[in-house]
Amino acid sequence: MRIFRIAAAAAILFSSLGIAPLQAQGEEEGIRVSASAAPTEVPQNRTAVVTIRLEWAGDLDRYEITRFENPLVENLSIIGTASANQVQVVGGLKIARQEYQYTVRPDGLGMAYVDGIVIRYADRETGKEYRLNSSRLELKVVDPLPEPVSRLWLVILAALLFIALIAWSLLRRIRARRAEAERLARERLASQVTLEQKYGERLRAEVELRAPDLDVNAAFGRLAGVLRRYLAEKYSLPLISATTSEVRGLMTEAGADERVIENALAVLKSADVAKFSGAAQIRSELERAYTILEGMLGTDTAPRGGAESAKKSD
Amino acid sequence: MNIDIQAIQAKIERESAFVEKITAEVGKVIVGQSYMIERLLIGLLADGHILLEGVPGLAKTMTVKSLSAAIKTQFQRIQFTPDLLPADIIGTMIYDQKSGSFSTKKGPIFSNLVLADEINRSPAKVQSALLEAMQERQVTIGDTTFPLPAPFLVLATQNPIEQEGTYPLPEAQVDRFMLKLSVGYPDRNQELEIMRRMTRVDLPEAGAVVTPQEIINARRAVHEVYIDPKIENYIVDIVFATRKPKEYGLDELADLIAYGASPRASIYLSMASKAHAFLSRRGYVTPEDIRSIAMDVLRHRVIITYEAEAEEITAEDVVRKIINKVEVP
Repeated sequence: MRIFRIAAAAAILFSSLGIAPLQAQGEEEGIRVSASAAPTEVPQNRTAVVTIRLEWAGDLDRYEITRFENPLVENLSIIGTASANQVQVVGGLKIARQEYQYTVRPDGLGMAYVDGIVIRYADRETGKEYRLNSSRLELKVVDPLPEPVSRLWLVILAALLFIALIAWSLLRRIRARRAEAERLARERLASQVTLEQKYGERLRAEVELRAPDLDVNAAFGRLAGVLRRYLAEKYSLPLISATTSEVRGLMTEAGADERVIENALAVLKSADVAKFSGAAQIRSELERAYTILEGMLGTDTAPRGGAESAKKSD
Repeated sequence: MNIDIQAIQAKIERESAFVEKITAEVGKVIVGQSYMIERLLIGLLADGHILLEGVPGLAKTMTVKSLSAAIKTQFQRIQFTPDLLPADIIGTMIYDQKSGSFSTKKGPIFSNLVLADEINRSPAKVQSALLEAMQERQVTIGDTTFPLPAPFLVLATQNPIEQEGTYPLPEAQVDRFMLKLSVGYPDRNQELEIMRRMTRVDLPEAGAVVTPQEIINARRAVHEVYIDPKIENYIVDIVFATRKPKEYGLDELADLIAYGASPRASIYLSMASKAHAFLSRRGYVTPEDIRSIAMDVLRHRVIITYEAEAEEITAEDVVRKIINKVEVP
């Protein structure tokens, strides 16, 4: 009774380890079979390896093992198989070993099973045949693990970012160019005033004829300055550093109309007297010069060369 | 400040009456050279000495002689040679054996108009003696100092060619001349007239038409010519532009000027421009006067660098650029 209990306990132990007990032929005789799965708890997006191991004492060819099919699986797919033979000497005793490995992939969440397989073999010496059953294995399929980010994805992401950056900068440059073009266009539109208009405005701003406390001499100086700058810009001449008598020669060379030259000299000579003689000038002289300059800016004719006639201020 | 420009104008009209007479008289002898004659009158009126530079045969000496002849003044010509001594110019003490005492023998510098012909042919000690007299307007012989007569004007000539055996005037000495004139060749018609006039039997001569007193009166009138502060600032701008060209937008001249014009340039520019205005019968100075006279006042006062010389840039080129750049008031 006691022996029976020990045998039963051993059977339960072997079963829990996935090792089928040896057949009744004895410890030294026959093949021991064991089945295992690793890991027993497998995420849905991973694989597990089921190993069927046959082990016996003696040489590899001691037994003739009948070829067996792949185990039946439930909620799993076999995606790969492998086998290996091995002979090992332990304590002077030769041990032969055959391993069959099945790589399985879960089909769904929950429990999965690998049914036991039937192994038939025969002893070559005695010709006696045997039959073994491997234990049924169970695996727990759990939630899939997050997939590690691939380097390729990183490269792709970086490339995408780079392309996006280039695209953004191009877009920005295009927008800036467009804005600059629009600004220039607006400026051109705003600057469509003639030289005469521009200097007419300047004359009115610099010489306030109606001012009661007008310094006539100083006003003459400002008026002459407006005239010189106007003529300098219109005929592209260095009139700023030219004396009144030099103005005639320079303007004649530039092809200015004789009437314009005469008017300019009349104003500049009056201004010279006002600026340099130290004598107080009478207001009517200033008004006369102002009127001449106003006339030049209002009804000035183009120079004979005609090149400057269409010239606009910047 | 209101200036009585009418009164100044009237005075100038009155005092400048001799100008036409003297110009006409000199014109009897000299053909063309109106620029040189005008500048000589400016020197005479502004009390400034003049250095004339030009190749031989341009009537430099004859113009000066004619001018002095037109004015009832004493005129002396000193031909500078390498063996000339200071005493030959200013005079010396002579021992009288009969009286047993020294008496003063005044040199040719004691004259109203002195022509120092080819001044660069004499050594520095002779040049110094003359230039010292020019500056001080007095000469010391022995223990006695003698004032030079008024008006006193030195007109020196020098030849720009034949530099061998000459003693170029140092910059400090040249600075004492108010104007340095560059006398040029006459044009074709003038040359023809010179040839006809100078080949006649009776060579023309200038007669005395102006008294020294008239010159002195005219000088007083020149002093009264009004010069506006704007013009004064214009003068200072031009002179400063020779010293600090970068401040006047003339960066390219910075490496070409070794030394700018001295304060004498400002003084002489002001005085000469007044005389120029006087000759134009104008009671006030305008930028025209400054522009007209600036080159003659500045060309010998702007010292260019070796770099400029290597690039064949002259002081005149530099002054011209400055005049054309500085803004007219």
